Amino acid sequence: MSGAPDRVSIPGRFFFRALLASAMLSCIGVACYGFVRNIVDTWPGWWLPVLALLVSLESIFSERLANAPERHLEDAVRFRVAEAVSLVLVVRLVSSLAYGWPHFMGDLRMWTAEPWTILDLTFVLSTAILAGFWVVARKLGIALQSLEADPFEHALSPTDAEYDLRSSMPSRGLTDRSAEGRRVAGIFLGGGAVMLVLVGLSHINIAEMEVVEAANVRWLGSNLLAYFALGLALISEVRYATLVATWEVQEIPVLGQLGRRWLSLLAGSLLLVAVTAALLPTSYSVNLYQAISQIVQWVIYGVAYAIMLVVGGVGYLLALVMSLFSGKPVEAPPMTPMMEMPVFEGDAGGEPAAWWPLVRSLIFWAVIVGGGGYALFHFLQDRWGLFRGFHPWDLLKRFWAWLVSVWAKTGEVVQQVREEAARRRALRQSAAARSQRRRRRALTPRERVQELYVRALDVADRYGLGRAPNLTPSEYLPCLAPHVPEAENDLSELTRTFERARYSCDDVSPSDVERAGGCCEALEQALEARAASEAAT
Amino acid sequence: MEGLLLFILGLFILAAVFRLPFFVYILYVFFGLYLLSRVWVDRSAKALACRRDYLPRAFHGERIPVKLEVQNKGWLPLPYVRLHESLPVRLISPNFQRAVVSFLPKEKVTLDYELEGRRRGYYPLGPLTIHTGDLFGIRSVELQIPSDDHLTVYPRIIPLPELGLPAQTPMGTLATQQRIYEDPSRIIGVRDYQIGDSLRRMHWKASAAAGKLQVKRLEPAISIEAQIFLNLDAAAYTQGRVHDATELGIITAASIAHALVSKRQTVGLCTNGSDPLAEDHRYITLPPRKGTGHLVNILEALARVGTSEGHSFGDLLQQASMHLSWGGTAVVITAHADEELFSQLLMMKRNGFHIVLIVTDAREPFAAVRERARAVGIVAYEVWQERDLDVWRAR
Repeated sequence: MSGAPDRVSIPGRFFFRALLASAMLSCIGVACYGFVRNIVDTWPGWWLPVLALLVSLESIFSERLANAPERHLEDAVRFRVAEAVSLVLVVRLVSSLAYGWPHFMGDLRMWTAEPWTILDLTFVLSTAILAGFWVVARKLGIALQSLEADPFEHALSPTDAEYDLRSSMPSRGLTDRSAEGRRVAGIFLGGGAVMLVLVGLSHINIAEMEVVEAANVRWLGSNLLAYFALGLALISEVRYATLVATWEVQEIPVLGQLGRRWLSLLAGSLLLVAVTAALLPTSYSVNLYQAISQIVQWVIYGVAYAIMLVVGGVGYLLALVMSLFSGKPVEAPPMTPMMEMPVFEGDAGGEPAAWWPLVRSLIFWAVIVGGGGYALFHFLQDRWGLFRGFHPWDLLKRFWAWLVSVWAKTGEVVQQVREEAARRRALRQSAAARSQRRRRRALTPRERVQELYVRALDVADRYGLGRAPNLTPSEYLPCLAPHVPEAENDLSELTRTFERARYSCDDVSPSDVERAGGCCEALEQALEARAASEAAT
Repeated sequence: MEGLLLFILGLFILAAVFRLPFFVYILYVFFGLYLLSRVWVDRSAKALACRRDYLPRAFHGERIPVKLEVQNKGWLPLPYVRLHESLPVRLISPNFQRAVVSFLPKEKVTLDYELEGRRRGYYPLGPLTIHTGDLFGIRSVELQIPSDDHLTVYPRIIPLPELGLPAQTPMGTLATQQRIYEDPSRIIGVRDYQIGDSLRRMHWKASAAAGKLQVKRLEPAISIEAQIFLNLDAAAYTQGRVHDATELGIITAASIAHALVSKRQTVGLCTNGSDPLAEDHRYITLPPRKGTGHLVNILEALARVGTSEGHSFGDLLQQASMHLSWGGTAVVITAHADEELFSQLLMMKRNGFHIVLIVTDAREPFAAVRERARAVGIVAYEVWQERDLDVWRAR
């Protein structure tokens, strides 16, 4: 165990870190005190920040002592119990002493007479708050302690006897210092948030529920600034310690005055940011819309003014050139009435406002909007990888292609429908025209007979007994006749008349036409009767 | 510092709710720190540049001091920079150099380290990896500075002072008394007049200065060349001995080239190995030349060259021997001598070349190979280990 770190002795850097952490927590104690004073202004709680500092320091150092490798478990229990009792006693005595010596003596008498009176509300609340500080300080102490490089972490040679043991240890026996750094940063930022809320609430006048900047709470702002200054210094120190320990474990030599430069750069950068922030306006008198419109007006004015200057200059030069030809001296151009510079109108309306509040407001809005835009940009940039596989443009293109194809198909269908409608219309028109043409001229008896036969064929076709194309009228007759036995003679008559009219040179008289018409009607009636009987069955 | 942006957002909300000026001031401070850290680290890391000061060529076993100069060319200081210089494991162990430094504006930092030319090769130095960050852990950057720096370690050269490979003629220039072989444009000196010398070769100015007749000494017009053929086709070697045998072949080639150049002879190199600098995968061919400069070229080629796959040594012999002058010496360094090789060597022998065969990975008893070679007038040697090169040192 010769290589074990000495946890009991306190190196200077650790003491410095512990002091920073305790001072930071003490600032929170001050904020607590300010908050309570805003509610109960008679509470003499000045001792709370002091005890917060002491309790935090005690917690950090006691954690270091308790973790000493030579301390046994029973020692640790005794150690913690003694610590708790001592702290509670101190809190009790100090909280009583804060009211003055006579009050303290009175309390002593009361406690001896009635021991339960020790536990009054102020004491319990104070103890609870300080216990919270103790717990947070202990967490900070653990984190700060683990920042120091452990000799056990140094890389071993593969030939070393402990190499296999080390290899089998979680994380190869290395401490994750960055996690400890994150823990400290988390405590700092969380404490900062608590501080901000407490200080903000301390500025609220509870009676009237409005924010005031009273002189008695103005010092809380300084306390807040002190907290953040101490916290940033602690974060930077933790960062430095983490890096140095990591390099030490990795056996990377550190060249030059790194520590000194780190300190100088820390002081310099904090000073730079603090001074720059102090120069920036912290409030506005002109709202964002007014500020933007004023900027636009000024820009328009500037551009117009520049254009007028250029045009005037060019005109004057042209006049000079023309004077060389005409020989007349150049006359000074009449003064063009200049545009009036836009004047910012303040809240009073019509009255020109002072420019300085406007400029301050412009800077304020520029910083706020610029900062917001910057944060938003980086927020999106950091998460851009999430959308790497997502290509909205491709999706849009595919959607557009789908729309185009749907449109094209719809167009095709509409076109087909139109074409079909046009074809049918044309057919209807041609049929009508044909019938009109037929009607126009007088038919001969021969043609009338043929027309009647065709009509009879159409009727038979309508009832599902149409003529096959390969059948002659004589061949068709025995096919149709069995279906219309009552009109068989009429059908034979009609067929013979048609054959005579169509294929012979014999005369066809109007009486033949009349007979054929009667046969055709009889055939129609027979077919109709047959269809009705079939429907009935 | 994780959660800082979230904290700034919360601070913004609280500042808007409470409307207290110092809340806005703290908002400015934190946002300023965040912005400063990002801009600072990003800008200053890019302003770092490095330069290595070293001798780019080294002999085997030589120690090479390297000065790595890192400069911050920007106006922003850097609180810390972790430098990690990657190095070839064959030259240094562990194969990196690390250091942590901080930089002021325009500051230079020099890192010294030493490499050892343990093995021949063409080694890249770097790249230099730098890791830097801000003071609060808000931003850290790691980037590499690419490097074009390389170190060439020449192959081991074993002095072979008594090298005299073919017995018929000395290596290099063929001794000739015929003036047709002398080039009158290349005077290499003067000598005293001897009876029978042509008057056209008299050096009258030198004769006047010396007070006696001096004759110009002319360089022979025919230069008998030695060409080293090195087989680095991995398929030709037995699997377990590829590395050793090829390295031995390279050492032998380098030693022979060095020995010949030191005797002011003409020597060239042909190999079917792969050169990392060659854009195409053609054979490496250095035509026979004289001088130390040419030796350096040969050594550099031998330093870089590695084994290849599928580049036939027979093709190399066939192509390269077409450009070799009559009477030249071909030093053939290969794994072993098979029928095909013997037939090619015999053809070269008939074409008037003197052949020296050196095998580094013989697969049959070498005595048989030597007898067979001797029968056709070829000198054969076996080099199984570096000590076998003593055959030339002892002669």
